[in-house]
Amino acid sequence: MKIVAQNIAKSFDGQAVLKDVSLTIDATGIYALVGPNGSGKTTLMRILALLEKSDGGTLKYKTRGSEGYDAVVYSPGIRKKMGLIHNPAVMLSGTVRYNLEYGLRVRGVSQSERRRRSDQALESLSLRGFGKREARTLSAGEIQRVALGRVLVLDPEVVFLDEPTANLDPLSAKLIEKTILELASRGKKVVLATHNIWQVERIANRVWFLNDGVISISGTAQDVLHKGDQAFWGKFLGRDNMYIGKIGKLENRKLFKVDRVSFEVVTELEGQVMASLNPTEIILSSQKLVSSARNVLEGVVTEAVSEGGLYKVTLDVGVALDVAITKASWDEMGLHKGSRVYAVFKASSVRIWKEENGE
Amino acid sequence: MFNLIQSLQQALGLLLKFDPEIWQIVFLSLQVSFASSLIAVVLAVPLSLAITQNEFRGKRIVIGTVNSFIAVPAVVIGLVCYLLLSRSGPLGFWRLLYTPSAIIIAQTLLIIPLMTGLCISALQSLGHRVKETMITLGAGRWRLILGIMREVRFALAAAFITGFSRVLGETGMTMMVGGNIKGDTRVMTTAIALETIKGNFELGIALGLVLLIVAIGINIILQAVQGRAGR
Repeated sequence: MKIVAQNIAKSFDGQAVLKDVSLTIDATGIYALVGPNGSGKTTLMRILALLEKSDGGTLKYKTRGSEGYDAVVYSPGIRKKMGLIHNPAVMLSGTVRYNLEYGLRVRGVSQSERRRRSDQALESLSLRGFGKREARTLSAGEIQRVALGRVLVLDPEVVFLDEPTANLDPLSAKLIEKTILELASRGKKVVLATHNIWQVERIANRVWFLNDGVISISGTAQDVLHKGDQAFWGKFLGRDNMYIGKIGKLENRKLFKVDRVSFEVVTELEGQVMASLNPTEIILSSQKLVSSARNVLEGVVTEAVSEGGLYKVTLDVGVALDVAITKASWDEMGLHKGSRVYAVFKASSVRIWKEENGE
Repeated sequence: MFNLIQSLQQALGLLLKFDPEIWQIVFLSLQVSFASSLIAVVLAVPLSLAITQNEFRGKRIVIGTVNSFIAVPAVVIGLVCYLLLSRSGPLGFWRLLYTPSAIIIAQTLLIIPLMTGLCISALQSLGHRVKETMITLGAGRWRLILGIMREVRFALAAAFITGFSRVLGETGMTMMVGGNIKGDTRVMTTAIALETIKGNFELGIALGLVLLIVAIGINIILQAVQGRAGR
């Protein structure tokens, strides 16, 4: 299925949520819709999934095997080729199996075939033995998996997912990401609204940045996230200390190199990777510390901002490095812009992952 | 002189002897109440679906009106039905006054607002997203309606039971349109009222016991159903 949306607009109570959005979903792959809260990500997905009518603009769908585009709104035929998972996903009253088979039942699929497909879904989503459980009593992660399974059994051409891994346990989140990747590899188009920039980096092929009712940035994930304004993304998505660099070896140690800075890391990966470092896991010291921490970088304080009870201190250590310390530490160390300090962190605090794949 | 113990013994005796008059009255009561509840629920469910599942101007006013009709006194409905069904009334040609059908009509009218109101709140409590989930999974209009009813099935059952217990205990209105004719339109409540006035306590007590047991039984079922509905 191909979807072409042109000049989509939508208001709620006179408040414009979407002003002028145009996009095309044609190639197979994973599309990420990112943007701040209230930017209209969910509304846009609902419009594309024909759950909501737009106030203006045109929507065209071309399904597999059909000649041209159908400019339709609310066609059950087209809707049946798409799946949408709400955030949070909603279970129908009944068992897990009832939920998994609901869409098949609606389509008049035979009982044996329903059973086969729901068994398959239970298996692939690590829900074996869950068939008879009351769906609403499951955990958030399990519910999300059932919701995904409920859509998978229908073999849709396009799947819309609203924050599919928000507030999930890591195991469920990983399983869901894996399933999304599998869907894409089977020729499906997956559109996900997400806040999770790590997820976008890991799995998305194309990114739309929705802000103030319009798509302000779009492109491949590589272009938008890596070649684009990293500081912007970092600030916008609350991401600190993210670097793209190369893994090198020095004797038995692994080093991550970015620009002229390098630090020791623990990883099995090779070549070009991404690294991130949690600002709260870095110690600031006015003298060179001798400790078990493998990395000691000297730098200059370039900026300090009070955030909640913490001070976010930006150092220039060759690259910009954010460090979070308490206000008391900041005061006691007598720091100010231009102070020379050492940033100390463990090799194991640096998270390393490949750009195209999971950690 | 009225002797409570003696009357109670005689009442139990009547029940245990399976006095045909008593059981005919009990059976008619249940039959009439069940019929009116069934008709009312068959009308109330589509009505509440039509009100809740569509957006239209004045929706709140309609829901408010339904809810205020719940407060209409039974005796007023009895009066209206009497006037409509009496020989000289507009529906007099049906010749239904003082028949079980008249009781059923009046009882149905009495509980339609109650059942519709209960069904509306049940349907309103169903999250919008449950409905949307069914739509995204491919449910068409009828499948959607079936799915919605399935979601609120326990609340619908509770509405039915509430209506049933309301009409089972109804006296004045039933007397007005049914006439309390022995062997024909005499139901538990009207019989109890009559026998008590006549000083014929053992029959009154016997029927009172049955009514009490049925009412308590219904209440237990209702609580069980509501427990499931609330889950």
